[in-house]
Formats: sequence, structure tokens, C-alpha cells
Amino acid sequence: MYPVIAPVIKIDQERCTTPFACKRCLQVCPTAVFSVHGLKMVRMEETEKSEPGAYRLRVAYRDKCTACNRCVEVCPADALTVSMPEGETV
Amino acid sequence: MCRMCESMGGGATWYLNPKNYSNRMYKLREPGKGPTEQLGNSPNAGAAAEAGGGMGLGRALEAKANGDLDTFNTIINEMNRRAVMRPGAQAVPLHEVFEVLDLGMPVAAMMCICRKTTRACEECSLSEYTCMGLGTGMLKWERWPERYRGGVEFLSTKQAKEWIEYWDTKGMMHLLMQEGGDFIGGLCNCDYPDCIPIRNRIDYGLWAQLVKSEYVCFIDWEKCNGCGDCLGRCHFNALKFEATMDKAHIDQFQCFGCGLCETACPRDAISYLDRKKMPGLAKVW
Repeated sequence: MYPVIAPVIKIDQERCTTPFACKRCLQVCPTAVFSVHGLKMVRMEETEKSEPGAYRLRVAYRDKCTACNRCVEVCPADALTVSMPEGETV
Repeated sequence: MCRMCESMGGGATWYLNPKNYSNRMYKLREPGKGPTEQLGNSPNAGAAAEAGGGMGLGRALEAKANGDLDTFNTIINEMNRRAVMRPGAQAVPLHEVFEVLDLGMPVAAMMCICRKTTRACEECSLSEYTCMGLGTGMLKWERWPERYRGGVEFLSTKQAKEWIEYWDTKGMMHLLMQEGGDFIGGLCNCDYPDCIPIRNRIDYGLWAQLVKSEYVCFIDWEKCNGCGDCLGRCHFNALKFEATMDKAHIDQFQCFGCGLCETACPRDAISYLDRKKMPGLAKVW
């Protein structure tokens, strides 16, 4: 393994409110970079997936991002940006 | 490893010891304390820990993404050192999955929490469920509907075998989930990249999250005619095609002994070798 600088994926959490219901970026990513986590864990209750803020999208495996931008294209809320870190040239 | 077999096997493979499916496994709480609902004990803690590998893997991957391999390696080594005695899951070939199903009751099919996390998959019926809960703990599933989103379906041993065989045919390998504890929690049908233990092991070298099975697969070249039916079923880069020999080839150090190639071979050319009986592989977990 040799060092590789990975792209930076920014999620605008104000715009990405229902990632578990939407799931477009999670399913389109060729390297499965994203993960989605339930923030609500209530006894005897199933979380409503369309409730804003009940789930949170995370970049779990940024080292696998190829900056192909498919997630940016499919996001209906324009919540994602993918870029190389400052100073890194492509 | 094989601490599991030494301490829990009763002289045999640990997951074939009926004791490990008993109710006592769910009673190991501190005396006087009921179940707590803090994050550490919540039914979702396992998924959260798997997804991020606790805080450790998250920090390691951030370092790797920033090109800092020294920090990445330091954290991974430390996580491996701590986890040596606490495996997360073990690969089990189909014929032993059947033996496990004969031992463990009740059997409940449910959605896979890894796939829910990595791909936001919602599995809502038996034809979609890919994970299986084993043991009396499953009887309490209704307390945490969010953990078992999409419901569960309790299966008879026969139904469970058919269901597992269906996923085996589709190309999913089987993992016995220990979740770092000394009990058997479930049996999952897994593939790369959805399965978090497979991914953490083969991409990042967190070996204790997924240890190899008790077997290594072996191809008898007298029987293999190079049809290629097994190719593409291996999730571990162990199975290749040797074009000049016109035969399939298994790298036995890469092989996890999951047996997906064995169940696909129409000529019975692939067999299981006992890992423990092969000095060069006995400690390759």
C-alpha cells in the first residue's frame, strides 16, 4: 500500500434530511463509500424513515472514493459535493 | 485462534457444541442489573460498532484518506491486538450451516443490518431477508422494531435450510456471527462490499472481524474440467483460472474455506481440507 490522498466528500446535513428513504447515493456508489445510521432507537417503535433527521448519512469509507461524481448527480437535494483537498492537483 | 474451540468446543468445533446455543448465553449480566439501554448495550450498538469499527476504524480511514499510512497502520495494528481473543464472525461452509441449523433454535430470518447501513436496503419479506437470528434472544425481537426493521419470520429447520441454500445458490457466503462475545448470535448470508466484516477484513486487514472457516478448499485437477462454474463465486480473490492448465486454481492462503466454489462445482472436483491438520495453514485464520 502506498499513500493516496482521497477526494473530500461534503454532506450538507441541512439538505440531506431523509437519507434512508432516499438512498440514491448509497445505492449508486460503485465503491459503497457511504453509510446511513439511525439516530432514533425507541423501544417498541419503528422509526419513520421519512421523518427529517431520523437518519444520518455518513462518509464511512472516504479512502475508497474515486470522485466519479455519480452521487452528486443523483442527489435530489444537491446536498453532496466532491472535490480534491486544497493543494492537490488531479 | 481456536481459543473458541479450546474453551467452548468441548473437544470439537465450537459452533457444533450444542451448549453454545443454550439460554445461559443470554443470561450473562452483572448480578442485580437488568438490561441497560445505554448505547453500549443497545441492540444497535453492534451495527454502529461494525459500521465505524468503533472510533478506531473511523480515525484509521480518515488517516488513510489523507495519505497518512503510518497512523492508519498503527490504529489497525492496535485494533487487531485488542481483538485477537474476540472474533466477530467466522466463515462456515454450507454443510456445516445445516448442522448448526439442526442445533440452534429458534431460527428467525430478518433483514441484514450491514446492508441496511451500507446500501440502505430494506428487506421486508422472507424472499428478501438475508440475515438470520439464532437462539432464544430472537424471541424478544419485538422490543426493538427499528433494529429488526421489516420484521422477522420464524422458520422451521427445513425452511431455514431451503432459505440458506437459496442464497448459497445466488452466491452469498455464510458467516456465523459472534459479535465479539462467547455466544452464537446469528448466521448471515454475506457478500462484498455490503458485508461490513468482509470488507473490514479484506480491505483494511481487521482480521478478527472475520476469521476463516475450519476448512480450506482444494481442487482435484483429475476431476476439474475447467468449466468455470465456480469462477466469480469467490469473495476473497482466492479463485482464479489457470488458462495454460485449463483448470480452476485456489490460492489456499487467500481461501476462507466458505465453500461457495464447492457448492457450485458440478463434478465434485472441489473438496474441504481440515485447516487444523495442515501445518502450513493451521494458524492461518
